[in-house]
Amino acid sequence: MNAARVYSLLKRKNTVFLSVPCSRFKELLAILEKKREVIYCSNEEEVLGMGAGLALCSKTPIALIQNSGLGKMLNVYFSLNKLYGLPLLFIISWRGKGKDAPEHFYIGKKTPMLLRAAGIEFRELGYDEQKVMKNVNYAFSKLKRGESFALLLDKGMIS
Amino acid sequence: MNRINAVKILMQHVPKDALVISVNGYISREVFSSFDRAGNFYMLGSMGMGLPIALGLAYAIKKRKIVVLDGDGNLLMNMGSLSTVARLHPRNLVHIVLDNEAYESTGGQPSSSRYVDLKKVAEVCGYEFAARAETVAELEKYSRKIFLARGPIFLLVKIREVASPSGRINIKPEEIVRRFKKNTTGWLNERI
Repeated sequence: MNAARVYSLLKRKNTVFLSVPCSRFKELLAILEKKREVIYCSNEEEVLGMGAGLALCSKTPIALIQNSGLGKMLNVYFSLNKLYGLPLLFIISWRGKGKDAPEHFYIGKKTPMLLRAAGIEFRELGYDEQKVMKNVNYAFSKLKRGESFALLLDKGMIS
Repeated sequence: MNRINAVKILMQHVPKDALVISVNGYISREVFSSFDRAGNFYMLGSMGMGLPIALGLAYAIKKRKIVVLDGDGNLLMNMGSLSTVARLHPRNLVHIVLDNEAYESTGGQPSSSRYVDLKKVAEVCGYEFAARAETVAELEKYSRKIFLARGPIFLLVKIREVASPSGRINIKPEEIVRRFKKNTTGWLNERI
């Protein structure tokens, strides 16, 4: 789906976008940069830490990251966000699903397993408007209940 | 100077409406035992996340001072966040590092902070003011200044004496969050 449309579905009253970039959502980042609505972080742990700080002020942090960062962030997720109940909405590019560069192969294979192990419910964002809208709304309903949720991005879902 | 004295001196000068993040290990335990208050957030795990949490708070609430009581081991674990301080340049951030050059709560193993001038690192990472306190008199002098000045501010406090740590934090994580959130309600920036 068009990045501008995805942005308008994600942008809500208290959302704050945090990111370690991935080429798969660069069009969305370009929009956020133009609006000065994204904070780039030095790594994914920092995304979760800042997300916790924002959630402590009743904000809704949206973490735009690559699945390589999923491996990096797990301890912080468990001992901060999960432990204290400070959830984030994750938008995670699912690199290594299908044909991709070799460094994405293993993490790509294990991405659903890692999310399940972390107890983070997830769905693929989807391609068509109806589906994307449904999934985004579902994700926000989970956040409202204090649970983190992940939307996974396959190739071409945001363009 | 020992850690508990340093914590007491600093906490006495922290403004009433400031929000304080203390990092996991002995630092949170000292703060909890000597100066517990609703505006304190005690990290129990997630080592390295003191500064990122504070950056999130400083972004959402610009009208209150955000204070991090960090440790050398904690900061070393996630020094990348210093570059994010340079990027965001939060005016209300006061970053204090209690540096005992060791991982004391795991048995006193040496950290690498003795090989690095963390004050200099802070200076090149965009802090408006960076200083080092070696003695009680110096710490008292800086404590009077840092909570009033424009940030981001960095204070390195050298802890040379070992003292037995305070007891464990006996409130639950959800209680820490409940108290803290109540304290932040109504303070959000109008537009962020």
